[in-house]
Amino acid sequence: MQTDMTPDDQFLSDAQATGATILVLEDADSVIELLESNFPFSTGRIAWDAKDLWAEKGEDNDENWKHSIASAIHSIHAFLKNQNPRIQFLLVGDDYLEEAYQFGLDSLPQIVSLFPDLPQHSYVISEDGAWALNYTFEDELYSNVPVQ
Amino acid sequence: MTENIHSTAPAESEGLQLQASGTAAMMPPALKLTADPLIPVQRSERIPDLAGSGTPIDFQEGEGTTTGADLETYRGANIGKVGAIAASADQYAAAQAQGGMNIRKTPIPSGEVLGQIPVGQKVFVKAENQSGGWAFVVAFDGTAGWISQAFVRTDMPDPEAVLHHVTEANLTAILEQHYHKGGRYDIGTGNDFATLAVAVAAANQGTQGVYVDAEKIQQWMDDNPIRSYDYIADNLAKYSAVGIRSGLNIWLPGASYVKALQESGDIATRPDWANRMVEGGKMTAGFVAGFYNGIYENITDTFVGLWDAAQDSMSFLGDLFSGDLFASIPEVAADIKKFCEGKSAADILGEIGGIISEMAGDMWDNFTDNWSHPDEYKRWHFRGNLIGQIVLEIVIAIFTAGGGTAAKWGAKLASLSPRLVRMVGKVASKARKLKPKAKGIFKGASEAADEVGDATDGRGAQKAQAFAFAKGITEMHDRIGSGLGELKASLAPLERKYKVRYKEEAKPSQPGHYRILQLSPKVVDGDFTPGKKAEIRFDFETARNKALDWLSSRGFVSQHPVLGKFGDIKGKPIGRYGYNAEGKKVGFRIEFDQRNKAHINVFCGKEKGPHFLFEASEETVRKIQQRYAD
Repeated sequence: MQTDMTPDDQFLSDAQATGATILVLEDADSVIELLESNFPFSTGRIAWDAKDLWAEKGEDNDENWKHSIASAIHSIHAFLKNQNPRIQFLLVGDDYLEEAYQFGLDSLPQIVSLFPDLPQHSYVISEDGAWALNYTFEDELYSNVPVQ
Repeated sequence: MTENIHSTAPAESEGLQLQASGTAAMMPPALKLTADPLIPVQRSERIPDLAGSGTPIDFQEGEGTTTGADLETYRGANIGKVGAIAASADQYAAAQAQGGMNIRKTPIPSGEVLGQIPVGQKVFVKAENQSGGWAFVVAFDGTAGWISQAFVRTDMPDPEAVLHHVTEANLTAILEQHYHKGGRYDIGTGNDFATLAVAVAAANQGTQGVYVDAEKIQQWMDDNPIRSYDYIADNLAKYSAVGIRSGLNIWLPGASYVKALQESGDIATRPDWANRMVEGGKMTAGFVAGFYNGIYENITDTFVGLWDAAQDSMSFLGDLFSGDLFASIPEVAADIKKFCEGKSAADILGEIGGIISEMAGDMWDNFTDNWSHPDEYKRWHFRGNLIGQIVLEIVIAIFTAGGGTAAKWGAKLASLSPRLVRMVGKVASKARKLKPKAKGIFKGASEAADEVGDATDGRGAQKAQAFAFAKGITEMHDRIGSGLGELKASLAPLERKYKVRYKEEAKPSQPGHYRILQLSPKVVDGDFTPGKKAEIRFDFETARNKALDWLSSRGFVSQHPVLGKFGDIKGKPIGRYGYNAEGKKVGFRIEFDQRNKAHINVFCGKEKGPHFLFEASEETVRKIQQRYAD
């Protein structure tokens, strides 16, 4: 017996509750292709360099971890805003969420704040394929945005 | 002081008898003044001769009272204002010697001296002579008379501001003395000397006493590219660039002034949650560094002149306090924080003073100041140092007096930190295993030390060098706001010197926030908080069984394959899932990545379970994944 509300429905509802503006994309495959064509993959995941690890939960409690993510996203947001404040992002997950989504830079912190509750690897990539952020199943936060 | 001149000092007794004629000179009765700009003045009130001619001049006011602002139109910009007595560098020493700057009966340099008002004391400027060179002032203690306008500063930034004569151009020392020790400002993380320095710069804008070096601001930004993302980076940069000039007078604004600037955005502030994070980082970093200092400084003290023995024992202690014991140091700090809640330094001393005096006698010096130091880092460095010394004493006692010592001291430390007691137990246990090696080091060194005494040879110089490294850690943190990255940099030579057997990596991850990873032999993660537990990696069968236990307890039924979505595993099985009786999707995934290597991830609805690590190559993981196709 499955519940009436799918994970995607729930995610969309949660995202809207944070005040984020988010769109559902019809074509998740194109987002996957965009990721695959811009980042190296290995065993089904982006093969991140160690320097791209922005944060990991480790033994943090949930509250501290939320603060850590918020702080990391604050920096990433500040960097990207300086690059292009109108940058648009595409989101795709590798299991839990089936749909792909689109949102603007200003919604990034709210959207990322929902990732710890998604049992999957969540990928966010800028429309031009230049920037990506990956919240892993193992509660790590990777991004190719450089640490300043 | 809430009453005004009018209500307590009748005009007859207040002004007329202080005329320049010099007759019937007497001090007015103690005047009660207020900083309120509305200063009622009685109609036809007269003040002393403004030109020194002996002719009183009436104020030509309307009915009733008038205001300080009205007075300004008659008598100059400063009348009706509260100011403070200032002194030049030349005059300051003399003023200090005689109790203050002279006030005179008449507004001329040769006027009879009626008394002195201390430099910095607040006064009410009641009148000026016509040339504006002299002011008739009344101090808050009632002292009144003429004083050169040059000695009165009325550009007060706020009613609580205090005028300070700078004798030594050390802004931090002044801030600490005035605000922290003076109890005028509640200093905390993110609301610290940098905040106050910016406020002082704002309060003294346009004056000579305080300056801001724009190049230094830029230099700070260039030198601290990571910290420049901190919410309070602006304050920190300005703090590095604010200077004060000796011999001049500066305003030290009140707390409400600082708050107003924070609320207006002129002084940067950091959100509370971010402050808490930084505070936690400083606390644990300071405590860990202090702890090691406490051990290493004192081991060199113990074996003074015996460099080789000291080095051996430090290497030994490096082994002892790595791994679990290293990870438990921040836990001890957390215990001590809890122990301190709601207690003053005197309370603390009352409770643990016995231990301190017995085991770390020289820590008595300035205990209260250091235990309550306004700098979070320094405060915890001191506490860590203290505990480090105590633990070292215990370690030495274990080797020289036997294991029972650990239990004895452990009991004494129970109220301070339960986890410190456990640490002592671990030290004792670990030390017992190493005892044959350690006993030789400690005992041999002790005996040799008795024979050799203080050495002044090359080894003595090495000791000095060792001290310099250790002290360097603290010095790096002299200015509030320095980051953990600097701590790591300063720890590096200490680690090399003493062969401390762990490797760390400081990774700036967020604004003003560093992740300290202890890479070997175990991981301590995130701001020195107790880190990851030792990695436990099973063989695949064991990991799978543990994963199945977790899944079974959540009603797992294997119904469908979990399919890969990216790269070379796209569309291929990587695990299984099904829906339990509550309609939740329950399943597992077999994964491999460079950081975590082979592992099993499990989930139930939105719940993520543990990651069951197992020993396997990437290739083996691929083969295992293939088992889960339909």
